[in-house]
Amino acid sequence: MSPDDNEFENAVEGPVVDRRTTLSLLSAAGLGGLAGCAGGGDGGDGGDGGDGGQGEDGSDGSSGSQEISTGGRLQAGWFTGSIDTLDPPYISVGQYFQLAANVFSGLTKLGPDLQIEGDLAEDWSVADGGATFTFTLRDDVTFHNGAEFSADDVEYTIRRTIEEEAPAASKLSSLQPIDDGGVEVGGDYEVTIRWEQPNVTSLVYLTRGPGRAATIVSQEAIEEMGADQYNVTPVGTGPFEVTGHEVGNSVTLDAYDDYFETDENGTQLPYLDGIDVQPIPEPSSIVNALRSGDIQFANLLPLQNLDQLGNDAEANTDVAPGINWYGLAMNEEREPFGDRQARRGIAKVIDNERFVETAYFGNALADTGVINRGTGWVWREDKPSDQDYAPEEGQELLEEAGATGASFSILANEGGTREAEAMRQQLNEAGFDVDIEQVTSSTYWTRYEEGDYDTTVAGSIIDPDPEQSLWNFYRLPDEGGVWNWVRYENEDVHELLAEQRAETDREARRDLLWEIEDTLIADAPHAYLVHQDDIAGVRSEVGGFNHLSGLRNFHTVYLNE
Amino acid sequence: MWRYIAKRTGHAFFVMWLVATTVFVGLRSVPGGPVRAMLGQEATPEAVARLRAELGLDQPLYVQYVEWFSEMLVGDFGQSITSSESVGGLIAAAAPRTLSIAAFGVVLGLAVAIPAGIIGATKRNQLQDYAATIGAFIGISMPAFFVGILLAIVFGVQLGWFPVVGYTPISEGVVPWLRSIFLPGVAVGLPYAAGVTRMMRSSLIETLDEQYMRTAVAKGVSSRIRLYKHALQNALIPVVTIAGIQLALILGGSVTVEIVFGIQGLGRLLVNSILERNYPVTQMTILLIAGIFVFMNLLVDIAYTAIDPRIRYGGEQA
Repeated sequence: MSPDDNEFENAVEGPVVDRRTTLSLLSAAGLGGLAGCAGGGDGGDGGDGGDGGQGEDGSDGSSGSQEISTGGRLQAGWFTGSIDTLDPPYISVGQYFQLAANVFSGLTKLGPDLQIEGDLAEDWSVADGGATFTFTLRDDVTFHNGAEFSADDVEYTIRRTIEEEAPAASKLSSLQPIDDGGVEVGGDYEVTIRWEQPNVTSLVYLTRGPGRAATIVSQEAIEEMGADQYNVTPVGTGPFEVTGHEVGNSVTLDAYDDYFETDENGTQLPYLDGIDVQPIPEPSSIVNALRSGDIQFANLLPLQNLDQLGNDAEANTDVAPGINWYGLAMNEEREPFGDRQARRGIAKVIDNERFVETAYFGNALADTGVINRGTGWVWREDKPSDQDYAPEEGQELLEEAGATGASFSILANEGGTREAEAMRQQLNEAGFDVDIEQVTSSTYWTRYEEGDYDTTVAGSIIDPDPEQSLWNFYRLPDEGGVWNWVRYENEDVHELLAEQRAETDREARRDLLWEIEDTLIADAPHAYLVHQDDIAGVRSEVGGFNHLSGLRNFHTVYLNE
Repeated sequence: MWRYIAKRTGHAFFVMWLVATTVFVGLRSVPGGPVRAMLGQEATPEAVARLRAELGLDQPLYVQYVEWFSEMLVGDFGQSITSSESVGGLIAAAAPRTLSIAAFGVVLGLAVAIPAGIIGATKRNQLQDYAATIGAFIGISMPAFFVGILLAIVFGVQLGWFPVVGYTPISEGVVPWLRSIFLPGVAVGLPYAAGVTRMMRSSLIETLDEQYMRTAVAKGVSSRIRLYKHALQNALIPVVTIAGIQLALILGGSVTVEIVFGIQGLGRLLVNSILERNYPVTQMTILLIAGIFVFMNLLVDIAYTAIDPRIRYGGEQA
């Protein structure tokens, strides 16, 4: 074991990983946006993180010195047509998980001041240079159905996710086989998890949100009510239990009286009696509902309707920098996108700043790279200039590639129309003949995956680990590149991705990630565009909401009288 | 007449079968399916294939069709692909919401349209007529969802009189129920009223110009009796037709209005299920809505016989 390994092990031992190390882990796991949300910071690893966690009224969303009132039901709107799935490993929509994270617990969690803390794990030790984690579990936890939580539930949860090939299984792909030591129950309240190689990001993946690698489900409840019912009214160990769910109409969450957590004063959490959630898919309606007070919280505010809030004294936005990236994906199996010169030419004729204004109403960060600013540790301003806006250079590259004035289409689903329109406008101004193919989401995903498209505006949406995002997008298609739907093939990038995954030294890993990003910017499998802000709507009577980008936790939320 | 009704009912069922089959084939002929949208980017191709097999989507089309149709005939409408709930349950929950909005819209629409049409016809080319005509044109021109958004901003956000999202079942009280469907009901009812007003006015004008109406005047029948007993009854025949057919407008309008007001009725259920390729839900919802149309038309035809005894069908003599 190298001295570096020892240092790493000591740094991530439980029960609390200090703030500095957490920020490093978050950055390594691509969750630095969460770190950035804290604001202030220690001037070290977290980066500036934008204006995260700050409401427009300047409140920081935490309880601070304000008196906390307990009780009351929060009326919340969810900007979606329905919440179809609440069973953690099966959730593939970020908005669903935002709600589920209030029903379930993970082995670890992100604390209010952003250190990694035990959630169901009381403490843990690390061995094998960061490949083996032994967790001591809490012995006072019960599921909402009264059953006691134990180490067997951890094993069951992980086994179920892998064996059922649930979408979250991809996060466990580097776990050793379960029956071969991958998960070893060492007693009622002890469990060991072994990865095939040192896994610097595993503590983050084991958080209840946004991790989901081991968000603990109840075997008894699944067997009793059946998987279908569990999908809509699941049983967890979180602060709220699902007491009603009419899909498309409402989700009713009631406070779980035996939830194991209290605040620093010993007051039982959660403060609220419950939450009534309504799906509201129409953009102007969710804003109107927030303004009228029909809802007190909107999980997302549509960008095009933000100005409706205007100077409303009661309804405010709460912004955190987005931990995502979007780019123009160019299908390399179609002409002219097989030619690197053509792709770079296209990237250079796109004005990202203007794209942010027209497509995102200014609510995004224009960028020519794939790593977002929230990941402060690995974020950098000075990127290679290969994708910088330079229309004349771009036209020269296009001419060399014989791609001037090419005809192609942008594939878009119903949620991506505005981005596609803004992109078409710029590309047509650059002399291309571009159409938009507007299809439903279902058609979109199938065509995107099967390579039946020319271009599309796409990227990593809510699980922005640079490693995982880069791995899935840019490894060779048959060797881990499960989202490599631009059909990008570069052996160097492929190898570097494998190398950085095993690298436990933070700075060395950062250099590898930069090398990968440099190559990607030069090769331009995507013309990188933006990182979109994460914007929630909160009325003034709501307190205690700590906005971590991509998450909506109501554990400490309360209503002012 | 009974023979006629039986024949028309037979036709109606044939149309329903045709709709069901067309929707079944049409949905599956569009590229894409529900599985990738359900599992998202994270899922491996193996997981996608496995779920497709679980849902029976890897079976030949005719096998899926026969299975679905035979199960439907015995009342098993299947499960929602995305949430695993029973389709029957989803529709049973959604239908009362749509029907509440539609019923309120129809009642409001007729309550506005018939008096407005009568005023327009009897005060032809006067101020009242112009007002009714302009009102009707505005109503026809503005789609229900736009009216809905305006109503929500004015009466929900600014005045705070009505909720702007959500539905309260009648079991929780008549007043909360009425408050929750008032704005969506008005949103679908106004365009409906506009169409019926135009028809009421023109039909009544035409009837008032008939020779028998002049005869009534010559006989000294009072204007009230002339209007309500003689003219109105005849003028209502085309209005009933339009009022029935325009129920399509109410149901069409309810799709967008339900989205605007965040109410999970049949319209929103349908839109969501189409976007998610939730085949079982889409099929049954379209079938139900088609059924409402088909049988509404049948009822309109039958209603003719009640309104005008001269109308008989199937060669039967009066």
